[in-house]
Amino acid sequence: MSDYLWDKTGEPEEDVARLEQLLGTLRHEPRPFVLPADFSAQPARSTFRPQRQQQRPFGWQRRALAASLLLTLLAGAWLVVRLNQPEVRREAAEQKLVTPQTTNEQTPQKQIATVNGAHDQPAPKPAVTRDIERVNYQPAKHVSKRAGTKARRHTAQPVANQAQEQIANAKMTPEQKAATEQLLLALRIASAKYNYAQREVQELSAAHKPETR
Amino acid sequence: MKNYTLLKLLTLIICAAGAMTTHAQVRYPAQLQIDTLEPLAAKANQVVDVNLPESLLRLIPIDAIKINNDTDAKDTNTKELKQIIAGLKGVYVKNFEFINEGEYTDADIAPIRAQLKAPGWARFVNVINKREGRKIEVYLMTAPQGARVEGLAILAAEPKALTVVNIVGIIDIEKLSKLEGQFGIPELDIEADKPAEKKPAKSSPAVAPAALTKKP
Repeated sequence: MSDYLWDKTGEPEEDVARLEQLLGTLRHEPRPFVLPADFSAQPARSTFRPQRQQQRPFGWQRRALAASLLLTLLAGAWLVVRLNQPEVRREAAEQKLVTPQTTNEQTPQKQIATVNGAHDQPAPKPAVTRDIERVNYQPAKHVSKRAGTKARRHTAQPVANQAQEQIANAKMTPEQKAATEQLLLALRIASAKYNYAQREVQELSAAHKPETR
Repeated sequence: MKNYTLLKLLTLIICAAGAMTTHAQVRYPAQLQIDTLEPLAAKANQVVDVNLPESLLRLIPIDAIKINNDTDAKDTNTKELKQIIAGLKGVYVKNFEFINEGEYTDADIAPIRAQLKAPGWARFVNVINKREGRKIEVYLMTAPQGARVEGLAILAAEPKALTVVNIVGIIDIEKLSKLEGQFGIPELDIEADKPAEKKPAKSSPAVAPAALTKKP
């Protein structure tokens, strides 16, 4: 037995020589790698993703969503621009400032002077002044002894009328007048309540002074 | 790459839409939600509901306001009134007057009190007059720096009346205090007549400096 199969020395046997001849065609032959002429990367990717639709699922849905958002944005922008127009703002103010008057039908014994209530029916504008006037508190009937410097009180109505006349004489649109009257009414109430609290505090602090001495 | 472009576009649109929505619903921290008192209107004998948001306050021609009884040559009173109005961002008042006592309860005011516990609000004055059944609380909202008042809230609970005032904006409370009886704004008779035998020394105010209680 020769060493041909071990280190290719000596004479090969017949079977070995025959097998070597048959399989020799498949022997490795070193040569540089050459790509085929018709090879490209895109077909290779398309083997995994044969269609573009599969690459982007929900394609038309995305476009529809984007379009709807765009439309919403445009509608919102149009709305903001429209609401900021002076004419629209004035109209809105007019609608808000219209005073309800017909509550007497529902509650005859009640006098509801809601200036801006959404739960009442609107009424002609002149009613604004009338209703606000009706809301006036009672004029001061009694000057408190402890009022001291506050004894210079005067009745409410004439001064209120003076303010109303002043507003009426000013060159204002009806909605401006109504807004001004509402503001004066609100400030009147706020000031009165605040002053009441202040007076109570002052009175109590004055009453406690002798005790602390 | 195109995927990212579409995503960016969508994000941009959503952000822009959100910003516009926020712009359209400007709400100041000092503004209270006082609509919860609306059900009381059905029980009330008289209701005053003033709702002046910033958009309506802008309608008021400040320059056209002039006080007739302002005898000062420099129109000091008028100027002060204009200064007050110029700083306002909203004025909301709800005043209910009832025929009988007990038409409203503390539960009706609780939602407003809850809002006044939010950061920024501080109870400035709390007067409880038990003899007359009155309780008046004055709350102030100050700027973070604390240099100015940016909101005022008054809760006045009386046996037959309930008043909630919410003024939003920069306001000088000293000037507000002067408004009563001036500027054509008459003094109101909310100070009830008191018996001559009243002994104020017996009244026992609460210990807290911001709370004063007057007992009968």
